Formats: sequence, structure tokens, C-alpha cells
Amino acid sequence: MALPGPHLFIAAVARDDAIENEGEALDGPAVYRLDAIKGAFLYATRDGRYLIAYQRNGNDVYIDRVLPTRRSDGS
Amino acid sequence: MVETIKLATARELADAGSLRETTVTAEAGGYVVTFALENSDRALATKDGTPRIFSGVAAAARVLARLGITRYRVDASATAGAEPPRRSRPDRARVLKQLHEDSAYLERIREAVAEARADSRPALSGTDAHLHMAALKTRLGDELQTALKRRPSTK
Repeated sequence: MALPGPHLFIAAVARDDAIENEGEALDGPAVYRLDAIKGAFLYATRDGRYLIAYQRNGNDVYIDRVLPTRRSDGS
Repeated sequence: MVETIKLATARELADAGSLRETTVTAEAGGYVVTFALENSDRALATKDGTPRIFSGVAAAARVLARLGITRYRVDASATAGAEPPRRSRPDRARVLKQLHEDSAYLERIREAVAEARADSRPALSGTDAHLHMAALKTRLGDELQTALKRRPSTK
């Protein structure tokens, strides 16, 4: 298997950290309620590359999935 | 790029008698309606502000009739008088394609969320998830360092 470049690994870790930090901060007005999926909220990461699909239950936030946005997956 | 005018504005200008001349112009993909105003020409636009393309003169005429415009000029010089290839509202086709892509993307989100919700494993707390990912990143980083040390030098 080809060895990934260290810079790619570092970038991937940084990206994951950023998503994690934004996931930790989920709340407030920067959300979009997706009526098509019951109880689902969507949050687009600040770089516009990922969507965090999550649910709210009282003060708790449950992250269902992190997905590439259309801009990211080329669709 | 040609300046455009939306249908509602065109209607108001038509009612006010401010449209000096109306031209239906043949282009490669269909017909565009252009209004001559006092100081400029404006093409009739779609809702998103791009020139609306009609499949034929009759289609353009129907819209113009709703504006009360029954006298207009037809300019087919760009297609040497030939009928442009008939397509059913190419601008609408673009919108429909976009809608189709939007719904396909929404469906992918729906499937991904449904799959996650069907996972019977207990949810990880934020702390657990952080620790899990931190351990994973450390392990992968270590493995990468080890592999890089083992890699034969290319110099």
C-alpha cells in the first residue's frame, strides 16, 4: 500500500480536529432544521466542506453523521 | 453580458407604456425576448436573473400576450432565418436537473442518517469520542512515523 505523505496525515488530523471542535459547539442559531428527516438538524462546517447531521434532545446533542457537502463530493 | 428584466417589472413597464419596442430574437438554443427601454435594452429574465429562453416564437408570444404586447419584431438573423433547434425551455431543464441533483443529495443524507440511527451500538459521549479519536490519531501517527523510518532513502 502506498505510504501517505506526512503532510496529508497532518492535514487530515487538523480537519478532523476542526470538525470535532465545531461538533462540540453545536447549538445556537447556526443550524438548519431538515424537515425531510424527522428530528434532524444540519450544520455546515465553516469551511463549507462538511455537514454535521444531528439531533437535539433537551440540552443534549446527538451527532448522527458527518457528511461531505455537495461542494466537497463533487455531486 | 446582456442586462435583464424580470416579468413583473416588464408588466409594470408595459402597463406604463414604457416599453418602446419588443424583439423576439433567435439564438442557437431558442428565442430571447428583448425590450427596448428609454436608455437600454433588457432581456426578459427567469426568476434567477438569467435570460429566459423560449422554445419558439409562439411560446414567447403567449407570454408577451399576457403582458398585453401583441406587436413585436422577430429577428432571426443569428440563425439565418432557420428555426433554432426546438428544446423545451432549456432554462427550465437546467432547473429541473438542479432539483433532481438536490433531491438525490437529500436522499443520500437521509440514507446516511437512517443508517446511523439504525446502529444499535450505544452512542459515544463527547469525551469518549474525543478520547477514541485522539487514540486513533496517535496510533496512526506512530504507524506513519515507523513506516517513514523503514522506507528506503531515495537519495
